Amino acid sequence: MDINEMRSLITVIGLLCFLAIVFWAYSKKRGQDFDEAANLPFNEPEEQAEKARAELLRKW
Amino acid sequence: MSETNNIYNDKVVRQFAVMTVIWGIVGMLVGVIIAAQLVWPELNVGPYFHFGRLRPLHTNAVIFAFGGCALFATSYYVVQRTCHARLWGGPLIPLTFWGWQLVIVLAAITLPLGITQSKEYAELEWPIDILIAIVWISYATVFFGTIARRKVSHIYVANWFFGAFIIAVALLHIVNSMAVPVSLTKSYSVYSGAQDAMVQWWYGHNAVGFFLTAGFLGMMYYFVPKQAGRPVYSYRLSIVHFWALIFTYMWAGPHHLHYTALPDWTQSVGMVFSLILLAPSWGGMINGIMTLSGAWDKLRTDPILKFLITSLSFYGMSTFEGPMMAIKTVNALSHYTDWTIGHVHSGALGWVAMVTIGSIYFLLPKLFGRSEMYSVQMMTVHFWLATIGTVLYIASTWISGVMQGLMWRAVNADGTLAYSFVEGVKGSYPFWAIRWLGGILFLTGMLLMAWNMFRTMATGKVGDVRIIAPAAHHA
Repeated sequence: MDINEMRSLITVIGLLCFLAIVFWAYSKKRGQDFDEAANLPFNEPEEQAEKARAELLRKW
Repeated sequence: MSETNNIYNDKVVRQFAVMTVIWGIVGMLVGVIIAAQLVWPELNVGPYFHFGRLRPLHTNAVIFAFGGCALFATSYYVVQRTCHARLWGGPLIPLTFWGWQLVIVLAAITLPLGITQSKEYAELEWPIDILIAIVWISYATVFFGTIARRKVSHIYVANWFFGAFIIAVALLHIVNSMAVPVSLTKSYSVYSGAQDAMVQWWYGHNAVGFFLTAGFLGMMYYFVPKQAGRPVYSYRLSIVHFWALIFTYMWAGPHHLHYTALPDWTQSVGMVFSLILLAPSWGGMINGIMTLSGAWDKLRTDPILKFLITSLSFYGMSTFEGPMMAIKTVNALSHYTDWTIGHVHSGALGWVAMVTIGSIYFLLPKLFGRSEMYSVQMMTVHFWLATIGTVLYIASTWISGVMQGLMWRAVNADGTLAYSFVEGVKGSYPFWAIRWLGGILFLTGMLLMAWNMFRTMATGKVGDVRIIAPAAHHA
């Protein structure tokens, strides 16, 4: 195979990879995992302390 | 040992966060000086402080010192918080801080002396290049080492952007800096001619794409949701955003070389990929801004959100403008004029600096044990100074840029040029003065920030933050 055909092939494979990622990301199955992932920044000590404080204030 | 492993390493984050503000002031001050040199040429003094030597100092200081320190600070903070793990790497961690500061100081010494490889945004000579490579590989080791010891299975999207930025910059820096040294302060690139130009702008544009975009998008994907108090608008979109940028950015560099000796087809490929880039860029912008949906009222009172959301608006604006300028016919008008400078600054001031300032204002109180910055009101003043400064800067350079482009291409009926070059320079003066004023406003805002930061540090208390088990991890 000629080097330029290889290059074209790589480009096409690149595009297919990208499309596969898009379909994977938008598949229904991923929903819950992504919800969990999106909440990762909120699992921090500061956050926990704030939540606890808010909780306390509400009860009080 | 196991006890320290239970607390976050915030020391290095504090160091980098403080230096972000300091280097921001230094870099922007040099920018204001060179803007003044254009208006008042008498300010070009001696061989060491004229425009040609100070300009690379300005670009290196704002991109690599200000932007670089901001990226180190935020990535080290975010990777620890989202992985529930202390930074990994022991002595490599302080090495990244002190090594990076040494690089900056060496740049500030060598560039005014005229020691340069003459490659835009890659001016530093080979010994400094080697030091950068060492620091950068240490940075990658620390970052990915921390990812490897994470306590949650998923790697949060901000870390993907930071990770891509770290890998890509290592690749770009090492390939573009390949040179044959002839003395301690002089080397010659291993590339020549059109190849040299292509490698340089493959580097140059991807420095924009990965250093100034991917890295700062990492900030966006963490600090916007945090400050808005709600998760990112669409996590799916963030993944597509990431991969679309990765697959397309690397090809866009040739738009810096339209109508040069670079083969025509390469220029066209660069143009097409630049146009494609509009889609992921706007997808990312929409994802960031829509994160605030349902909480728009916070924008009225919260200066951090003002900075973050305005930065996304400027990101959207400059990533629309960029693809347009990459179209060859538009580029024929815009290239080599002030329009390019205006475009760069709508990205650099409006997007990069604003998202940085917002993120650092978020970090400082947390790092110095306060609930908020010393003066929230001064943050709002800073926001307006920065916004008005940016608008003055980009509007004036747009006007002068388009004017220059039109004057340079104007021809008389007999085919001779309608204007001499110096007539274009003369016409640009008033706009250069407005641009200088915009720079002054932006710099003033940074000085306010420094005052606010030092007051916050003086009235705060530094303490250890314990790592807690991740809540969503069914612990």
